Amino acid sequence: MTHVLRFLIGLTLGLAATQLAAARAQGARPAAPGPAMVEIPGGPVELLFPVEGEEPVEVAPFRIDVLPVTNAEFLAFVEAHPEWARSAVPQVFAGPGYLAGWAGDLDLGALDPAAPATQVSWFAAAAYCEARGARLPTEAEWELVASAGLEGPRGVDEPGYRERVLTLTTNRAPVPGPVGQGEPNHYGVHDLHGLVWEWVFDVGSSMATGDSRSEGDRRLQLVCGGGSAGAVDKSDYAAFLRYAFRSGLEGGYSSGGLGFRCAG
Amino acid sequence: MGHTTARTTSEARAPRRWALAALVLLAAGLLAACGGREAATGAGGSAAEAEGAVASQLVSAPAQPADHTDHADHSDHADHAGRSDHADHGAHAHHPEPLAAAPLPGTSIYHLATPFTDHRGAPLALDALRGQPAVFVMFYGDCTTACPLLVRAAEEIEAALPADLAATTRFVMVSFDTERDTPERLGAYAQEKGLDRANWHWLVGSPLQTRQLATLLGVQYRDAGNGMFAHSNVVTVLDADGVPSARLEGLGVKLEPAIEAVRTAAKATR
Repeated sequence: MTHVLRFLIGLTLGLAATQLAAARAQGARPAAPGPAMVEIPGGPVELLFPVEGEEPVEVAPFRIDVLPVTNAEFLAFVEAHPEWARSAVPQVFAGPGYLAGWAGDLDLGALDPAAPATQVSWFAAAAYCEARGARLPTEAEWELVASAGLEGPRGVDEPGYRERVLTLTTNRAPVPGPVGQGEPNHYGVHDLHGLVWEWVFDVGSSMATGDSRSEGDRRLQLVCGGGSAGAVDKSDYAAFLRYAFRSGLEGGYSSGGLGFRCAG
Repeated sequence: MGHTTARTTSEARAPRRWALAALVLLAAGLLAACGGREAATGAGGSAAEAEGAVASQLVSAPAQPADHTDHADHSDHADHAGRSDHADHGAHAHHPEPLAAAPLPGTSIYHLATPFTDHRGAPLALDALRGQPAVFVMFYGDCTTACPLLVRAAEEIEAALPADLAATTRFVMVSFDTERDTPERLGAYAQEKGLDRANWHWLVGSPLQTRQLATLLGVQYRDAGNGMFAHSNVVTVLDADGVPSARLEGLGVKLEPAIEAVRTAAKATR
């Protein structure tokens, strides 16, 4: 039942995206040649839904991929690690949607090799990054990078930042195009908002009850209805969408609108 | 609404159908996001249940009547029979072999191959637990409120089992706190609780392994900094192949489904 509901969430969001799918941001340009990862200085991150009494997360300096992992890169990974082939992966690590768009175990079929790798479960994404000697970025790290504007580390200080991110988030193409076409942010990182959702390391961390005897996923209650008054910043609708999407994810899930990048 | 029935051509209906479909999808999406905890936790439960008293169970093992007289002959596990607080560190050599090393079922958690470290400082790969039921709990040492109750629940499950089954069933306590819960610290914790036993395994792994296991067990947790972890309270019974067969979520829940699942799993290995 949960899968059905989740599928319907995806469909609903996808439908909205499709209807809004106007032309992608003009001025798109190919990724400048440069390092695959960039240094991020770190700093405090205030998560949208902190655990009760939780201070802003202090993120240590780290490195993150400039681009999402592509189909071609994921294919190379599966070739080197055949246990992650569609026909070989254990069910616990990847549900039926895993690489469902591929034509075969080692065949991308009609997929663009330069497009972001999607239909990849959290377990597979984490394994990919591990094989590279990297890891998935934590939610706080991802949000830190994604909160940068075009000019500086604090996007909210730039006029039109929220609207731009929301437009990018809701105008995604149903089938993502090649990575690196979107404008890089202050850190030189591309495609955080306009291409696909992205896995983070701490999947299943959305519950927010602290060490208490109460249970469950408070964030969903927070996202919805009056409970959203608990959010730190009520005006960031794109962030609501991201947190809501992530809070519904399970590790074996995969979808055509969900990719990843690595950090280290 | 007579005018609706009057419009009979498919051309006239098509746009309405699309609009309806879009509305239904939107409603379903909202329901999924807001309608209930089921969507997020996979465990049914109202807000009242969430407050911590009532079990939400997922028992996928076929229900079998309890048979209190039909105990297995566990003579080859004599090492485990004495449940003294002094652990028999040599006992691991006597784990029953997996039957003909059949491939693990696709739903087995024992696909998680990287070894954890136990409270004796020894590596333990989860598939080494294959061959008998196991009870998994995720906790952390500095947790003073919920975790002692979770460990206590595992202890009560053990106490409710016939002695031979209790001795062979594995109790696997895995820490969220990969920084502070060193094997030494876990060993001290186990001793303090009187649970440094041969069939109890207090494990710590890498951050990735810990997140992987939690994800497989459907345990939510979050490092809140300051040494505290927010976490859901889950006791999982795995069958002899590492496939979850009972899941208790919440504190103070009824343990019978877990006890029954251990019995069922043990029978299936005979």
